[in-house]
Amino acid sequence: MSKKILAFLCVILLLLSLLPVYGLSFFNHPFYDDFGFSIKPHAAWRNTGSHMAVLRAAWENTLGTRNTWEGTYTTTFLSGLQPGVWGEDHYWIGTFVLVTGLLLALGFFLWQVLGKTLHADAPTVIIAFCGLAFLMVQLAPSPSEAFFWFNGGVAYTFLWSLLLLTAGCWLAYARLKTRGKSAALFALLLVLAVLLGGGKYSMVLVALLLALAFTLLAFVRRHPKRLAFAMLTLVLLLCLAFSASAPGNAVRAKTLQGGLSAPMAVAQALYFGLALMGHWFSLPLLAVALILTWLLLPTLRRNSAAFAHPLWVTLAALCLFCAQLAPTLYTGNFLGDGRVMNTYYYSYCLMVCGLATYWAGFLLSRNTGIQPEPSPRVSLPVLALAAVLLVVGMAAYRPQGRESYGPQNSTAGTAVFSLLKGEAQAYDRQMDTRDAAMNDPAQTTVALRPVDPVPKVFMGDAADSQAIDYVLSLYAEYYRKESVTLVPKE
Amino acid sequence: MDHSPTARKKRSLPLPSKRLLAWLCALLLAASTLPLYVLSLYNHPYYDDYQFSADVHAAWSETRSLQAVLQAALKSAASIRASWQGTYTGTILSNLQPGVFSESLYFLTTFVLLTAFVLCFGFFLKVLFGDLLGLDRPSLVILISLTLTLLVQLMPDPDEAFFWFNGGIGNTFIYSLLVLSLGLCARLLRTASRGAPIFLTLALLILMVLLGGGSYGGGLFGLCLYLGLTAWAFVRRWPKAPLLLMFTLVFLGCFLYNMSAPGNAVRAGVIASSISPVKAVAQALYYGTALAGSFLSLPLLGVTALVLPFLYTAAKASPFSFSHPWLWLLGGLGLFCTQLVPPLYGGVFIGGGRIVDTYWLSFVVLWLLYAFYLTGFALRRLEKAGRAHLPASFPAPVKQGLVLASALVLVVGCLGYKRPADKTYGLPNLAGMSAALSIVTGEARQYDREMTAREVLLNDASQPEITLSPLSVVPELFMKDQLTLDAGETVRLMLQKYYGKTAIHLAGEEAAP
Repeated sequence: MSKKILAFLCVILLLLSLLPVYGLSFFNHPFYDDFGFSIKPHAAWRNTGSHMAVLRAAWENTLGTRNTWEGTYTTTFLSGLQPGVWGEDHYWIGTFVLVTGLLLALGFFLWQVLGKTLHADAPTVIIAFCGLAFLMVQLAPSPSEAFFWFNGGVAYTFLWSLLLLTAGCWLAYARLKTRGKSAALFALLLVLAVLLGGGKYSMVLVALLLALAFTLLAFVRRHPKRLAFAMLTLVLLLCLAFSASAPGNAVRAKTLQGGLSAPMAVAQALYFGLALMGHWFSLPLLAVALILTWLLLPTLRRNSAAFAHPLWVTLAALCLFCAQLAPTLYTGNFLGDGRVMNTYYYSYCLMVCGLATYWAGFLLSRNTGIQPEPSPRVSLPVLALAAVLLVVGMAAYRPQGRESYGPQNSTAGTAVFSLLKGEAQAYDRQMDTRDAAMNDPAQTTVALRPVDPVPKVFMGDAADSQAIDYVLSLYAEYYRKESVTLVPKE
Repeated sequence: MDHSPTARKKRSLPLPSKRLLAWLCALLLAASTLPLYVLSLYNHPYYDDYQFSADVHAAWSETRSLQAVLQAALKSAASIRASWQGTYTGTILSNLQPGVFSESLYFLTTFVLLTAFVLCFGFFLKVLFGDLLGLDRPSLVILISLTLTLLVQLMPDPDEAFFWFNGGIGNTFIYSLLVLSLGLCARLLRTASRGAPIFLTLALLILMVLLGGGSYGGGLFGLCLYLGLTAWAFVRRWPKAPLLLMFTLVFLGCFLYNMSAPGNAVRAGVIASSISPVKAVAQALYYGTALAGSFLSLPLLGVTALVLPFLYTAAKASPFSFSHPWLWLLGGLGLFCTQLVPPLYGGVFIGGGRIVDTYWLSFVVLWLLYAFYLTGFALRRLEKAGRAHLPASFPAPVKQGLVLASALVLVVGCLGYKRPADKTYGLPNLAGMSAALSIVTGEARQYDREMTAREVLLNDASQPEITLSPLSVVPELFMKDQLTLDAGETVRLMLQKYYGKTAIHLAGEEAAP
């Protein structure tokens, strides 16, 4: 089979797998902290109908949150702009932003690494993109917190996408020779560094470690842009320091218990990092790594000198992966919630494929007798093996809490079931009724009726939360009600 | 370049290192299994143990005669055949659970199940890779120790496999007998002497009778294996093919007798949710593939990578052409899936934990065999391309690096081991570590104390009506207590019958709503 046909098929399959995800989003509604973080922007929009007023309110909200809860200014600011602010029926935009953002960032990053740096052909890059995108969207540990909850997704999945975009831009900037474009890209990188610096600490730590490593390497190799790299790293560091110095962090820390000492957090990060690596290994991932490595063999052979230190690179990659876990462990959040785990999982997928490629490049450089030649075709046995691994792996897919095995547990599978069984439509109807009551100024007191059923990849019903008093107060404040109560379940 | 055996030997891992590795692997198996034996000292009978052996217990209590016990067991099995199921091997043996003679003897459960498991599977692997494929002793020890460690430590439900007589004896134990029979069969087919075949033939005939009365999933799986072997033996014109046919026919006859039990229809009526045979086969293929995918984990791949050099050596020495990897893959997968048909057809989905345990056992063994076949396939391809020397020509540091990397894959896989019900990742979820933790934290002792207190009351003939206390803790590897406030009456009725009580109450139930 030719690579072009395979790439085309992969794109079709990826699109088909994404359709239910996007489709389900039309039935989604804001949830929990979506309200908490956007009370001011929502009030601004209701009072003025001005987008500028909403942005100002989001900014004020960010400043206020810095003093009272946390300093991660980028995520706070973006959370204030959840699409439900403009009307609950716009909430689907959240999924479109989060999924599409992830796909675009991944595509750009892969294009920079595989296409521009390793000079792989376009079909190979497309196949790699489709494989990795499939893994990240369909097998994410918590798709609800990644793609169907703006507050959770924008702070983690979206920021991780920004991290990937930054890495891609950094590579492009390092390669660029023209001054004008370099300056523009540097300005963009500065903006991205500022945005990343205000992200969640697990991600900023990774970004900082990556930036430090690249800068160090640039100085060792006397890269002409080493000073610019150093400046970007410094900006990132300063932004992190600014975020970490927020008075609100201390307030938040008091609400968390069970924090660890720094050495213990590092030790546990290593242990649980390795544990997650072992736990997340799957046949679909193996299939993607296999086909990607196989397709890249001729390219790797041309660049074999670049793969001289597999052990050090492996060690560095493992440490970098584990480093992500240290902040949540240190603050007493154990490994973090589903939304945090999603970002670990994305990193893991990239790391496994990256290391498989690196080791293949290293082995090719060792004169093993394998002489792959560039070919427009894909080896059928390898393709068949990858397909078997993928199919068997999907049949065996069973995330935590699911009764049975199979592809129906993937994000798309779950979405299709919710749509076909009418769960999504029933949820939407009930939530529309609730939203109508909430948005009716004539009703100053509203009684929330619990919603049932809730599609599995949605976050659930906030009215079913354990912190129900907090939820009711959020609803009251967000919708300016005198009181919001809960109708007990029948 | 010199490719003679002597030169190959020089280039391979030096023998002392391999010996040391073999010792370490054997030590790993012993150290990881020992806590299971120790934990068993705190174990007590559970649920169906009482149900199946109530009459036998009564016979022992009244007569203290082993003959009376055996008679009661046979009588009880006959009654169960008429009223519940025809799996006579499991039923007869379940009647003889060690707790019948005294609850303090229940530790024998693990000693019987686990020891039989280790010995039978060890024997089978020794015959297969040692006698048939010619691996040297250290390689064999490494392969057997690593495989057994993997099988025991990552057993999906170790409680139902090794700590519950009723669950283990009808499933794990039957699979132990199956591999024992296969090992003996191989011995019989290879032996040239006259005396040995008589003993082996007799032993195998007994085993066939026992296997025919085992669980339906295991029975069908074993029968398909034997049918395949017999067909192969006739195609290859093995001189002892008729003997193999006789065993298969005995197995088949016993299995048919087992299936024809009137009780099976009664049981099916109780479950009342069976599916059509065609759907059962289709679902078995689907869920078999799903299970195969879920079993194909990093620890298994790590062990496979570690034993790959031995499989390579064995493949090199074997006369097979290894030319149909896809065919063998499909055949192996089909064989694996056959086990799932009976429970799916019987309406119990893929079966309880004790049945899933047997899928795990069969999968790992089939996987090792397939890994051997794949290694042979790759080797033959290399030979065709004139590169057969390639793997042997790796420099020593590369070989050692590969061994280290395989071990790391195994370790990382074990660190990430987490079954759906487990709370955290890693080593505490491995059977041996879980047992050790239960012992060290005192959970096991506490459970033992509380269960002993219950049994004192239960065995006190002067109290026809008693009140039992709920358990404060149950070790992870023991079966969960069914005598709780929110549980139904089933266990109480079983206990009442078993211990001859008129009523059993649970402390605190009068206060419960």
